[in-house]
Amino acid sequence: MNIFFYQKFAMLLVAVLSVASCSDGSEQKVNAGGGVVSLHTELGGSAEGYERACGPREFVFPQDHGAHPSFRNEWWYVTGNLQTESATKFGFHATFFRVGNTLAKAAIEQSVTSKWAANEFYMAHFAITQQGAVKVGAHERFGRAAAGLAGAVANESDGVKVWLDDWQLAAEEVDGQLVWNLNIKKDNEALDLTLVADKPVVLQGKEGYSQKSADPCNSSYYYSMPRMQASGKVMAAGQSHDVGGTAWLDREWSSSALADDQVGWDWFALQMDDDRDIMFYQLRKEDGTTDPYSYAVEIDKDGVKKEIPAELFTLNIDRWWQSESGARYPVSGTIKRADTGETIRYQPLIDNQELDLTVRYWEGAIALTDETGQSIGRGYLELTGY
Amino acid sequence: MLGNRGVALSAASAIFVKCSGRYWATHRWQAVLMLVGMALGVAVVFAVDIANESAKRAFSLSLDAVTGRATHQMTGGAAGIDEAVYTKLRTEIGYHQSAPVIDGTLTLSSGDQKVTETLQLLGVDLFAEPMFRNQQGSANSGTGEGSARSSLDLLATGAVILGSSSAERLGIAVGGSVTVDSGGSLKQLRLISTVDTDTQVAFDSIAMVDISTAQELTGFQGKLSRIDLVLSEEPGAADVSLIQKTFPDLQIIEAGRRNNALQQMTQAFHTNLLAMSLLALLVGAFLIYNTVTLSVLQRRSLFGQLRVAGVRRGELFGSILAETLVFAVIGTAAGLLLGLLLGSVLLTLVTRTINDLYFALDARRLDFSAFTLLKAIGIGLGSALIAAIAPAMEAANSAPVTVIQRSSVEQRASAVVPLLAIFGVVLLATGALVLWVTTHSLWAGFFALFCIVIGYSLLIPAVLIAVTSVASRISRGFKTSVGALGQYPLRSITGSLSRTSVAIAALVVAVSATAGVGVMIGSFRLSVSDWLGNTLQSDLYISHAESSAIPLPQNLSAALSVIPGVTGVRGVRLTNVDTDLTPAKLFAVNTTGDSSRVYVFSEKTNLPRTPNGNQPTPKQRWQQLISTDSVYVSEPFAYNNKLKVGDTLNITADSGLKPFQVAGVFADYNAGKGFIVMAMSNYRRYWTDQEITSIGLTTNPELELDAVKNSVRAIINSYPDPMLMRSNAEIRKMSLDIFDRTFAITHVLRLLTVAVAFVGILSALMALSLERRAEFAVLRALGITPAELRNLLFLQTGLMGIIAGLLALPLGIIMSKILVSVINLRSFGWTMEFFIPPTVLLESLLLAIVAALLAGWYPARKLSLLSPAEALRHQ
Repeated sequence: MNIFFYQKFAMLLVAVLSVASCSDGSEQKVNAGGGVVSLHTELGGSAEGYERACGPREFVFPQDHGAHPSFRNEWWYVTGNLQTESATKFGFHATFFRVGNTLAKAAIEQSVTSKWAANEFYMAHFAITQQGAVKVGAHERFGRAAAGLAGAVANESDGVKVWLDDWQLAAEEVDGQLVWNLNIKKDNEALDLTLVADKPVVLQGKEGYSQKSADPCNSSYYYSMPRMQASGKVMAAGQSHDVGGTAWLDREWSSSALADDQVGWDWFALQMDDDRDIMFYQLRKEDGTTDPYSYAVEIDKDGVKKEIPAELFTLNIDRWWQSESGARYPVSGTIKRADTGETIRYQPLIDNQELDLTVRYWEGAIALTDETGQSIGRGYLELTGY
Repeated sequence: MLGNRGVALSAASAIFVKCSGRYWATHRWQAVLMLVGMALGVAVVFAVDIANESAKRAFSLSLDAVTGRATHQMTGGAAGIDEAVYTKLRTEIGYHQSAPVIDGTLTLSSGDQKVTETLQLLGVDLFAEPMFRNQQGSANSGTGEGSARSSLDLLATGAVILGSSSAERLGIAVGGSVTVDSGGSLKQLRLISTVDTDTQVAFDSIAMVDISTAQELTGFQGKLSRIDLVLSEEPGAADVSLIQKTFPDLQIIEAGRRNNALQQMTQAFHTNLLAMSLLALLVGAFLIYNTVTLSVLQRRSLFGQLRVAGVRRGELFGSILAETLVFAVIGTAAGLLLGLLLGSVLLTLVTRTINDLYFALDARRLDFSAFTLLKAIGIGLGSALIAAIAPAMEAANSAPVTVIQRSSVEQRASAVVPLLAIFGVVLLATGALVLWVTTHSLWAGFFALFCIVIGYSLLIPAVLIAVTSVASRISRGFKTSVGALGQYPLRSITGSLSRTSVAIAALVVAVSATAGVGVMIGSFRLSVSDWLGNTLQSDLYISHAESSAIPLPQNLSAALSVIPGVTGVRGVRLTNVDTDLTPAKLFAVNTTGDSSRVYVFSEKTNLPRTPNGNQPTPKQRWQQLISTDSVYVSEPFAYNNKLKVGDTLNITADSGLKPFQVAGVFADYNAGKGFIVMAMSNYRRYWTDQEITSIGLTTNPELELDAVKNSVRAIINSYPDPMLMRSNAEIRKMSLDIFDRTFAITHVLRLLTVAVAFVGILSALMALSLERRAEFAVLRALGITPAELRNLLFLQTGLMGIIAGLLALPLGIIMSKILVSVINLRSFGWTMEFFIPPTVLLESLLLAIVAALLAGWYPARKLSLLSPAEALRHQ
């Protein structure tokens, strides 16, 4: 309707959100590492004025389910595999990102009375993958952490609430247990899920202190709820489905987590049929090698965590898929574990699970099989920096 | 065969090129005049269009930037909307196709305070959904100049984004700070980025800040000006009603409607310019036609000789057209350049007018569409070719010998005169019919105006013949006093009708345009001045210095009423209201005392009758206003909304829409959306608002006003709010100053039009006199002295001027009547008294005569110095 208007705000969007240091606009959106907002740069950027994660800390719940505004970045990350009674499979992904804004922070410390003054903003993504669909349905939204438009709170009396507009992830204590609700809707796609943890919170890395590179302060605080029972409704392409399945909640906050030479990561969250949960990520370096700060962990069916040296995991890629944007993603492959001798083959629920949003990355549901092709579990794979 | 023909053709063209090359070489002045004529004609049309279009574009762009692509807006009147509404809208209702907006004006100054810019303040939330839509794909087209990490800087309170042109004028670089003149707490803004105003034109007049910054700047804490919504156009548009149900106190209006209301404001202004541009187009076309016709007629003998030499008809015709085209291309190109130059001057004037009357608009960029360019080129080439066709055909079709004779042209020309006259009458009738049939269409009004002007000018040759024959009959009686050649000047006008009539027609149209516009402006000014006299009943007016919509301190009225010499205190509340029609400004007036005389009711028809059959008197209406739910509405508001006395108007009060009966339509010449007048008692009944925004004081006429003023000043200075006191006379003067400035551009255009006509007359007379060298040589040989000859020529051009001037007067009056009663009514909704200032008529007459005499001076001087022997030798 009004080209000019779009252009103007597209321009502002670039100016405002262009945290990737692209001097030349034409380089933008080439890949996830160089999107309009680059997660990588966002995570590796200046931490000035923010607290940094330099060593272990004590976690207190439910308070730590809420925001940690003294750190620059934070996220609430829910992924999961669902299915209907007729065995139609769905993958879903919902993330709330909190991003601090250094300069605004400085300005707001002056006497500003407007309730709209914001030193941080939220970005939320959600995506639904339906088995057999051509592509993932992905949506995003932004909002300032002010005027009640977006935020994250957690305390004993009110429970947990993370929200951006009417998109929200909330938890209430019911019979001594937190019952989570994920409620998101956009156009004809929606998630309305209840999530209940099967296993206790897992503090990743060293008691929740997750070092990402040689600088001890290039780290994050990181915990997961690796297996949650999910039930509720999924709406995809305007059709509502009753679903059940399992989900994985990841929580991480930091002020700078990546080193300059790290370009992206491959992150696996695997929920095995034998009730083990395995998380494995490898950080990729500019030169194509794998960073030694890659990480692997196994949580047994009772929720006991066991860290495994990442070098015991070998990732072999079977197949690359190229998106319309030109990025190539290793969507199918094999993980070999040297310690157990296990072979886990992964296949995407569908190939096109690239989230073509302001930050572009591949985030998709995967099916897990053994060497013989027998199903052994399912999971989520995140590929960034491609 | 074919080859032979080709050779013959090129040989003929070669002869033509050689001959006309020689001709133009010896008639350089004529070539120059022809080019100047074409260039001026094209330039005027192009310049007016450019100025109009640039201003309009800048205007609509800033309008878009302010209202965006929203389909609806939630508004809460002057008080704004509670910001919590927006939060509720997004988090509870989940309506995210919404964006909060704070708008206003902002005055920025450079570091040294030397440069100030008043811009539109636009407070936005960049994260609001509508702004993010469709960003994909176009993200690369952005031209953000800010460095990468300027990133989220706009969120930082105090950050501003300006257009690159404003930043340049203020002399601040990205990262620098700029001083703000605002009522709020922020005094400094930091420029975080500029927007290239070459590509993003609207940013010329915008200062964009975050909502938080806007609240700090405007002191509009906790409030928003409005919320923009993008609501579905789909049939199941339950959205509107759902939102309306949740917020029953707020009004949701279609953005388009509001936009329209805003657009109406400047539309009216542009309409006046458009009228000027159409008249300029007509004069420009006449001028080009005139010069080209002359250049061909001039060379009839040459063409005759070419025909004798064996050049074929078709060849001659083609060659003449080709030659005209070459001239037209050069003339048009020059005209476009000149038009561009002229356009930028006019644009400055237009922009100033809009700034004076409407809002901050910064249009420094010349903008024109391909259509405008094509139109100007079309005028240049088209009228030149059309002008050349008739004489070229005539020259080509005549037998070789007759071509040499000039008289044949004049015979033919005379034969066409009745036809032209009939066609002219038909056009006049069409124009009149269109005016009679249509009531609201502006375009129909313009069409009729155009028909009437062309129709009238087609009558000119016939009128010329009639006038000169009558005049010569009369002058025959004074033969002795005028001398033996008394008949000569008159007769030679009709004798060379083919040249003189077009020149005179051009002059008539130009002069009548100046007269018509002059009368229109005169009528308008008189009406405005009368209206001011009626409206300004108090002697002193006090309002807030920053905006007439900001409330005054509560106890001010009481404090002012005790000043010695103050005999009356009248409070007024001015606020913006939304209605079920267009938004308007509401005046809630204090009704103590009889103010019935303030409003001049202008409507003539559709009045409800009182039981005894009379129209209600102003006193009865005043009574109705005070004692019932009634309002007066201003004329533009009534006209644009087709509202009549007795109709019901729904106004958004605090408790929702409230019906009011229209008790009167009063004359009002304020620019903008229109006014509603309501009794204060009614306003306070339906609105909780107890504020007043201006106070009118009546004073004892026997006391010195200055003494009262000093006391008033002392009181208003004791309050922290900056207030403004103005006397009746000051307001009057200021209003009329604004009025005069608005029409400054029309004065320039009037002069320009006359200049174009002047060139037309000059070239016609030059051609005529040069052609008649032999004739004059004979006269000289017969014993007429050079001085007598000069006087004779002067007499003739003077006569042409008088005839043109006299013919221009009726057309001017008709034109002004159409401008006053049709064009302005249809575009502004203003009716005004029709007043013909005698000076304007006299001026026009003088203008025509002076233009003609000036144009005749040079040819007359040149001819009178002619050596008769040499001139005759040429024959």
